[in-house]
Amino acid sequence: MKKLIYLDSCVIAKLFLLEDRSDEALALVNDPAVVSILTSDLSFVEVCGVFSRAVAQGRITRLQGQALLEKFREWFLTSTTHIAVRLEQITQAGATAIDAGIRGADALHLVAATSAQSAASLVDAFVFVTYDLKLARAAMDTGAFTAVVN
Amino acid sequence: MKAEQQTYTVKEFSVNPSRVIHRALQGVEVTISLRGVPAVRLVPVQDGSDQVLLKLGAIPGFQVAQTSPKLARPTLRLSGTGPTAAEMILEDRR
Repeated sequence: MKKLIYLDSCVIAKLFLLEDRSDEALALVNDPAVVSILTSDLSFVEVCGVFSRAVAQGRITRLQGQALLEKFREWFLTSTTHIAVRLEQITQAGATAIDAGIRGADALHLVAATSAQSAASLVDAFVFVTYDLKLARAAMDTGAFTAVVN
Repeated sequence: MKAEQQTYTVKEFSVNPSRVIHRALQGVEVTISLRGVPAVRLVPVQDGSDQVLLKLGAIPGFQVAQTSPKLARPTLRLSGTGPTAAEMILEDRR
């Protein structure tokens, strides 16, 4: 069985900071059936924003923040199939946000994920993973995914 | 029909290994030479995954993963009270 999984940034954050559902997120990405982990380049900025906010609020030290960033950057650049935010995606996301009633960033993730559809026809499952209920519903409505994990 | 062949030196390979691997996945017989002597041949694994990666790589804007190591369980938790990391992302999108 071969799978592609698309990760929303809120799932990625749990892979680097231990919290509720981290183990579940880890099991999803470490599944041997996964051919590639997909995500948007937007995820990089969003996850770095979390590290930055955590340092600013004193919830991790600056040193811990820098170490997290380094580990995350290495993983993101070498171990994910990351999807560039291109102008056509942005305009498509604008339309998707209105159609699906979701936020702009959510729509950008959805558009990035669905752009992998031509490759998804070669695998047994194409899974979209998000911990945001509204985005999960919008992903289900596209009909592009075999499963939506929420 | 004979497959296209291409030989890279170790130096050429190390400059952009991903590109060389993709050549092999495209069906090119790739050989890596060491000190002018053919030393290693890159052969695609035939489980279909390579085709998926190739297809992903052909989509504009897609930068395909070069490795797939298992991620270790994180050890660091956010201290104190406040939103979780995932909640911070969802808050930032509002």
